[in-house]
Amino acid sequence: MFWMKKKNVSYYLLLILLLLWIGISLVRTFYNLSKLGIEERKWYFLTDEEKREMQFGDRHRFFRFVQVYTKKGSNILFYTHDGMAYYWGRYYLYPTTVIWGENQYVHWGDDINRNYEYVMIYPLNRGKQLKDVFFFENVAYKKLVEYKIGNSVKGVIYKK
Amino acid sequence: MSFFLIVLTILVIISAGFLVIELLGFLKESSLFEKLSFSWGLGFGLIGLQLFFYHLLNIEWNRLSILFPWISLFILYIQKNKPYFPKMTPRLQSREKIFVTLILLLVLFVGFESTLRPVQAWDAWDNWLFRSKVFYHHNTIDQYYFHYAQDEYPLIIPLVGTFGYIMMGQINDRLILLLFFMFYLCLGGLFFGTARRLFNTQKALLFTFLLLSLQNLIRHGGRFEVGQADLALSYYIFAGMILLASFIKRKSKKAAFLLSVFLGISGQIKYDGMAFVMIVTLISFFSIIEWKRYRYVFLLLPTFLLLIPWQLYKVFNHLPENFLFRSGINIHIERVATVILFMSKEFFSIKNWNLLWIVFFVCLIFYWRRSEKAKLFLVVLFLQWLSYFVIFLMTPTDPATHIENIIDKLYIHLAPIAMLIIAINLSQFLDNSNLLKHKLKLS
Repeated sequence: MFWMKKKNVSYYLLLILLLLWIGISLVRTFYNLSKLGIEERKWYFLTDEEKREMQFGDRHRFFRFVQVYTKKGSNILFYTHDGMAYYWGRYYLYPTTVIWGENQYVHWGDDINRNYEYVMIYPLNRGKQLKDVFFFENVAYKKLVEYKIGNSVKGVIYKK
Repeated sequence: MSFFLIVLTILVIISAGFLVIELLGFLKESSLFEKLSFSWGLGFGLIGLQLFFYHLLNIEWNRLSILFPWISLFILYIQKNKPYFPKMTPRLQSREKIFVTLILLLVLFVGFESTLRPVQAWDAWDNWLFRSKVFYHHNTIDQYYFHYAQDEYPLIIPLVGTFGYIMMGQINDRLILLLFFMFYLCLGGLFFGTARRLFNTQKALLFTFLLLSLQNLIRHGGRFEVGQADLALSYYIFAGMILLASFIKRKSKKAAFLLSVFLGISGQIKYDGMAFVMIVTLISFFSIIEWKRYRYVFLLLPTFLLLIPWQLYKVFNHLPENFLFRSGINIHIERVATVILFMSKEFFSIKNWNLLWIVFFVCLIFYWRRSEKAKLFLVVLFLQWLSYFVIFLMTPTDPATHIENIIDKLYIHLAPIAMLIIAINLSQFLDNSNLLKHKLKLS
């Protein structure tokens, strides 16, 4: 009798779980499909460039700006408190190499080329005073261009 | 044009695997459907390794140099075999038709989503597709890259990404994502093929639908995280598991050889795959000893022959050490409770897994004594889980944060095996429950 009870418990428990699982899967499948007609619609008729802008926002615009003002294949020292901006910049700008200013000695030690043609800072902390000349290891870098949104300066590029 | 070329790339990869399978007479008992699903993984791994060996031998990468061996194999194949077109006349019952429709809807949705946006996953632009871009730009494996990116990860996935770019003649980090969607599709194919051998079509379709509708799999197959290496490793682990089961059941030399090649590839998809390689190699080795067929040990050699060049390459080129081992191997026993707690929490994430893990544990509680067929799968799943557990005891970063960041990806590796164990148990349960109903009616 006990055996029958145990059998029944396992039977009903598994049956309920299985039906619930199938139900959840069905609902989610149709929910996903419904997204194609609602929230995904905004992506359909955009170019890849517009999609990147929508995806990465201001970071995308900044790195496109960097591509315009720096030489392809150069070596840039990049100061940022935004880890995503660093790694995205590294991917985006290649073959230009980008070394993370704050972490360069911890992360790379002596394993990299430290002959930088440019220094860039992005995003800038609010209210931070920008110098016209930036020094790194006794090398002077002059301000090349500021990246602005409206009147506010969001980033800056210095050139050796 | 680029879309056509990426589809052509996919066909080349599948054909490469298929030609090797057919010419060497692997998977004789398998259906065309299963063979094609295996072909994807085999072709993917072989082409990745081909680019790596070309680099070592200083052979230039271009369409002709890469395709030449495969075109030669194709000519050899059509000389030996007359082309045949298998008759596809599946007769499906109405319930089966519903499941087929649902699976097709899922596949179309995931495939469409995979190329809707340019690459957006951290793993892609931090690692996998970044390397594809670097290697494509230099048309070889650039040495400075390893120092620049402080990276020593294996190369098959980035090299196949580079192959896709070579085929397209440009970097297109939106269309290249179709390669990762293929792992979703072929994992489904492998799972259905295996389930079809064990159960009837209806049950096989039901469990394939339940697997392919897991939110985490959908996301990594096409939406946010966009697969990259984890879904691929999940595919290779499942393929390896099927081949191991086949080898142990049939004691077949060909299954052992193919298993060994798949293991050699799995270990170079992601380092998480190395634990699986060791587990399966040990199980195969002990089985061979038990059968006293010692010559079979040589069939396990391809794994090592495929893995060793990359390990030697790392040593000779002074590649940075993996971050886990940079400050030595330290196992922090005091973390045991934290690690178990955080690793277990993910099992209850219905958002990611629907009811997969909950049903898995319920099945284990009620049926573990009787799930003979599933024992091998269960042992491998547990040992693979244990390998992640040990890694979290060693990690130099905060274990709780580390686990929360990656645990959903790690469980993707185990999900298809867990689903097969559930399917085996539930299939027995569904059969037994019919019997029980019948008994209750009689009493």
